[in-house]
Amino acid sequence: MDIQLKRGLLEVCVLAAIKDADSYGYQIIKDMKACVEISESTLYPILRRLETDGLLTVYSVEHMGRLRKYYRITDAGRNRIEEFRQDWQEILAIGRFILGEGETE
Amino acid sequence: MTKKEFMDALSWQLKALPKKEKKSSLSYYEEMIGDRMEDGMSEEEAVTAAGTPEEAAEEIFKGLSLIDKARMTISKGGRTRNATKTEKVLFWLSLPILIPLVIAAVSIGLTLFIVSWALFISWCAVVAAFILGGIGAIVLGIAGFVRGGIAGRLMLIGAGIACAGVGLALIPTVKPLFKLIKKTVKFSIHKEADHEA
Repeated sequence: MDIQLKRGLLEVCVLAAIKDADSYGYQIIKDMKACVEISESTLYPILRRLETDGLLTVYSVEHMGRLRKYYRITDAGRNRIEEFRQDWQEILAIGRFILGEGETE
Repeated sequence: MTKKEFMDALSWQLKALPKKEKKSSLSYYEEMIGDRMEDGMSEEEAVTAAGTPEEAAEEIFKGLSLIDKARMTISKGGRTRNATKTEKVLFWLSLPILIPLVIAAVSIGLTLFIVSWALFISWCAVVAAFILGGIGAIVLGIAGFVRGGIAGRLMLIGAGIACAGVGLALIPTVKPLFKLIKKTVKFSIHKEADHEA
């Protein structure tokens, strides 16, 4: 997929992965496998930016002798997912235009 | 590659980062590799899945915000850290030399500034003198405040015209000279500032 297109979608995707329950890095990658293969190298900057933008918060939990970082969605993060719901309609419309489907001749 | 080799290589790649960023990035990868191993992968598989240290570093650098990048550039690519005790002591000890140096630099800068502009003002005065003197001569010539009758008056008027002419001809030099002085002053002040830095 085009990298620009992907980047925007991946951010909301990560938010969706943590919207029902807090999660940690590796678990997020596994959950997202359902729709997209993402490496930890790609995930890291996304998590950082989401944190900087206030769409999620980070906390640490001890797990088997080491610290595991958990990510929790914020209200702003939930809003972002809602915005995407509207964006999605627009994306569909643009897609139809590009591919020329559903146009009355 | 073992986990330790990966982490060491990544740490080396990230050495330009501020301490906080570096620590956060390293712990992220450490955690990720650990989680994969917990999931049943061997150490080698887990490290391979993480990619190469170079790729990981590249993504980290790409993901830095503009503010982080600006901060890194300001600290000249080195790590931002507080001055060590030794550095602080050295700074205070160096003051007896440092302060006179700063005073000297500032004085030189100030002198250059004053002299340059004094030169400019002098030149303007010269041009003005030519014009005003010329006009004065013309007026006096016409009014007759000169010996030698008509010839004398004509001579004075002629000299006045010539003088004013020179002055007028010199007027176009004023603006370029102004710009030149301005540029030179700016340039030398920056040179001084760079020397001090």
